[in-house]
Amino acid sequence: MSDRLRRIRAIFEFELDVSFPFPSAEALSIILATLTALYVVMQGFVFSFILFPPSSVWGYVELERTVWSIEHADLSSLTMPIGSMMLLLIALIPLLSAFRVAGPIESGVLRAMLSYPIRRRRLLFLKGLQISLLTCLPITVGALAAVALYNALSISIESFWVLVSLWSLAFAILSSSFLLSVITRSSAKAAIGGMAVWFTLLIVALFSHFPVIFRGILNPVNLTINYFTGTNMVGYVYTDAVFGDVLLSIIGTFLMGVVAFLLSIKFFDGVEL
Amino acid sequence: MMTKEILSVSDLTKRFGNIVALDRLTLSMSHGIFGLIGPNGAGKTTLLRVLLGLIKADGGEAKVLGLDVNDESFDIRRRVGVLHEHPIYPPSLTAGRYLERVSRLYDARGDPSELLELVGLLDAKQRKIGDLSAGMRQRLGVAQALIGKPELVFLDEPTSNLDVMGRTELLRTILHVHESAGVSFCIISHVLSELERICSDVAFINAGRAVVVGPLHEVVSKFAANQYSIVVSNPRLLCAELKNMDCVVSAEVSGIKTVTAIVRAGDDELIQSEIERLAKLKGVEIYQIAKASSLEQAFLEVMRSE
Repeated sequence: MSDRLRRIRAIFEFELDVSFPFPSAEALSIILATLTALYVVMQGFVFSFILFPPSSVWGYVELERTVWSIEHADLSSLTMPIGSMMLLLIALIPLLSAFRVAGPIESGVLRAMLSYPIRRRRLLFLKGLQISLLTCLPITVGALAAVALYNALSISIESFWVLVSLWSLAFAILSSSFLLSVITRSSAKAAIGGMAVWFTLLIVALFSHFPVIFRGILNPVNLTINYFTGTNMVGYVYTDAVFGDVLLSIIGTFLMGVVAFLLSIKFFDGVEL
Repeated sequence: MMTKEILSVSDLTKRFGNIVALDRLTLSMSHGIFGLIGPNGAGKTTLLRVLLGLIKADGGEAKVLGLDVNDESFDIRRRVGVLHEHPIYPPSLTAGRYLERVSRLYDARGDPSELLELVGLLDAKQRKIGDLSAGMRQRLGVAQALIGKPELVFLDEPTSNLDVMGRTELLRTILHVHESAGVSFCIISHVLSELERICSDVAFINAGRAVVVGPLHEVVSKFAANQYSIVVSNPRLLCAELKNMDCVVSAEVSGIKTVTAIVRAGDDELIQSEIERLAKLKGVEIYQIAKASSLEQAFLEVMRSE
């Protein structure tokens, strides 16, 4: 192992030990992920897809239409459980960021850590990596379990784009949550503010009054799935989305995440400890 | 190679809103044990935070081991050790495991067991930090400050939470590390009698400014050479009488039975016999009379004139 990797590993381990190991946010995310994974395994991908996204409805006609559209959209069973769980779990990212970034700032843990030879930027990257692992690892395990049960191990090109849109959205939420944590330096403000902002934006993205690109950038997952299934999540037909919109929304969301991450690095460099 | 001037601060300014924490602070420190002294809120901890790159100064410049605190703070932190006033440790980790974790962050590493033995914690190596007493945690803090084989160690109130024996032992350890490994120390403390025992140089800081900087003996002889501490039966009466003496500059009741008097430079024996004669004349019994040339007296004298 090279010196650089050894040092990164040392910082990673030290950070995990010092920054309140296993706080409630991590515990909550793992419990939710496990429950969701179990549900996916028990009910199968279609029903989990219908039940978990916040825009789901319970009417029989819409349900039947949605199931039909998914079955005819060539989306593999891997995509749907991941899509369902990610939408649920990415809502927890602001909470995890608040505990991992703003929490140590206000408690003095970050001051203690950065008195050692640890670079601020490296620490921020590692914190991002930790949150990604905490949210994505249970999802992957759940998805693989579902795939194993339903024997659909292949990932189609449509599924690939859904996955890309999921990661793009998760990155944007993670970056903006970091930014909020670094600016507010308060775990309560960052957690509540981050979750409120993103839930609001995800709901705004469902209204057809706004331009497709705008909605797509706020929630590329929704737009991508709608594009490939031909309907939106409540069963109404999308007529105005083209593949270019999907691509632009994924890139737009990712760029939004990049800008937020660069800003959070800039602010994190200047945080007074 | 040892850097001669290991710390230099010039016109350093730091404001928190309307509060001026550091006000064009200027001081320097050579290889040795340096005491940073000042009342609460004087700017000592703010200075430490600037030197470690934890906060940015609004003006001026500061160098630690010849490295600029703004541009080379990472390199500074590789070569210094720090014990903060309120250190934070992971409670579930054992003392030994914690030191191992910290040592991996440095290029040059000390042996955790050796350091635990040095601070008298070897028996607690396998104990969880959460189970250690406050004094033991403080000693662990000193060990972690030394784990990266630093050239300079900052200790912010290192003897807080320690009993008398623990304090003496810690001071001995600091002296031992300084003499055997050539490590310099910058100690922030309110316990001046302790600093007086080990420091070669001191700086008095008040309201963000360095009001006195220099070798300890020079500071004490300059500001507290002509002070007497007199333990008497009636301090108020003696104090009033002393103020009328020509050779006395000032006198005040400094304790329940103690009078502190600053006298003009002159023949010590003559002055002492004059005071004794006056006390006898007024019927005041003197239990003890001694020169009070301490760092504490010097500090009080300087702060009084500020």
